[in-house]
Amino acid sequence: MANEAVNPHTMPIAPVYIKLGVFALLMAVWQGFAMLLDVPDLPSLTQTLQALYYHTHEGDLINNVLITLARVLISFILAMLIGSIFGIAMGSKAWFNNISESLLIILLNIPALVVIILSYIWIGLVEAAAILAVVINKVPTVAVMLREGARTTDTKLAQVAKVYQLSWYRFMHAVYLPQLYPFFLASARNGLSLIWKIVLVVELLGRSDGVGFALYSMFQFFDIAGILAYTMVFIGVVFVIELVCFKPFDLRIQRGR
Amino acid sequence: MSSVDLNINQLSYSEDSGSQTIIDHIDLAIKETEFICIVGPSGCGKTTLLNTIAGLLNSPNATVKFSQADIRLGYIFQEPRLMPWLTLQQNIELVLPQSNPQLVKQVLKQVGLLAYSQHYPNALSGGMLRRASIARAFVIQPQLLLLDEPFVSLDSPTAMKCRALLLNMAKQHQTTMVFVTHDVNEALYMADRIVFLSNSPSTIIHQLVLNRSAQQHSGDYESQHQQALKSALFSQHPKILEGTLATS
Repeated sequence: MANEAVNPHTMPIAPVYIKLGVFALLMAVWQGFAMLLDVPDLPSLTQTLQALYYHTHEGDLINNVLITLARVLISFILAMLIGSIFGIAMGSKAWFNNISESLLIILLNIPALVVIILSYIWIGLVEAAAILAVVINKVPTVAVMLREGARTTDTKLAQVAKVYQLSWYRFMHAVYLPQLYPFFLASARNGLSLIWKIVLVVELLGRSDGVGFALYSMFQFFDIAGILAYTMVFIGVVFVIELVCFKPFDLRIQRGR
Repeated sequence: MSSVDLNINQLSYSEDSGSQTIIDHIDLAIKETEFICIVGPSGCGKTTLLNTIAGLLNSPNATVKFSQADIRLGYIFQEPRLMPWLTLQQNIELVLPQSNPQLVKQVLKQVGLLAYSQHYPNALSGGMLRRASIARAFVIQPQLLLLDEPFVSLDSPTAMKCRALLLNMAKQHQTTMVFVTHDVNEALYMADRIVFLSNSPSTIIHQLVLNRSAQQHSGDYESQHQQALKSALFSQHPKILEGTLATS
């Protein structure tokens, strides 16, 4: 009931404890399930942690993760930059949208694998081809989101900027871009998850280092604990990026809205 | 601080397609520090007229001339139009060419919002937002201030307070004011001169010069003086206010 009396002695549980609790429960379920089945195809949590320790100290885990992270970062920055410029231009200029819309639809629908293979064939098995393949795959989705953002910007606020003769920089910084920040954030979150996945495929197909290459090597030897250990690190890195980069930005853009 | 004269000649405005004329050949001269109220029925083109003066709309054959080349223009829109992601202080500071926290504080104090300077617009009431938009307009010390029915959605006591605040600030800053409303009472209360527009395509159908000294802005919104003026206006031009009052 809406007007149900609230017990003042009942303190709400902080969200961080709820999240940690759910995480611990998942780990416990994994451990219990693996112990119950006791098959080599499903290593337990403890076996995976042992594999993680091994690959960190004896193997190339840190090196591979750093290489993949560098590829993800470069691709992410390029894709966000190019996609944002195209998206904003398409959303704010009807003539540019008319010219580019067909190209955008084509790029959105070409399978990622086709772009990766063609990049390797046309450019060669080099770093530039790997990065280009990832960027081409991601740019259209960023452009689509930012185009929608640019279409929903409030022209009334732009009128305020015009009447009060704001400089271009001040207009962009204080009036126009803040309206697009939620779209940037959604696009960045979505983009990071997609880029991680594409980078692994790119590494698997044509690189001799990185997480994708390491996963492929472990697949050859059915090292499932190793694969899960890499996946754990992977998830850990994504959580760190979420907490360090996206969450503070998210909190900032929510102010006043 | 100097105010400006404003001369509008042959101002016409049509929609992009040209199918509908909204404003039809308006000539208007506004003197320095004058408080003009433009009154007309809803949809007659009052906002279009203000937007054309502000340069937000282009009227190809019209001339809108100011007595000075580069003027400081303020505009209080129908909605407060504050940036939701900026605090009140940041919103006011935004329109200043250079940061001047002292001036911002001074203006916020004048409108009674100094205590709310770090609040975001979504934490303020409608009346506070109107006062904030008044503060934003006056912080640039405008020579000409355009106002588009700024108090239209406020309750009566709050609107009255805002009107008094506006009159006080206009007097203090010696600003030329062009105030659009469809409320004759509001115009009678505030203006030095009232310009009546017809229905669209709008033209000026009557002008009424008020003796400012006779108006005391006593806070009595519809004083005997105003009622007398309105009656006189009705008896002389019964059709002028027909549409105006129907919407007010």
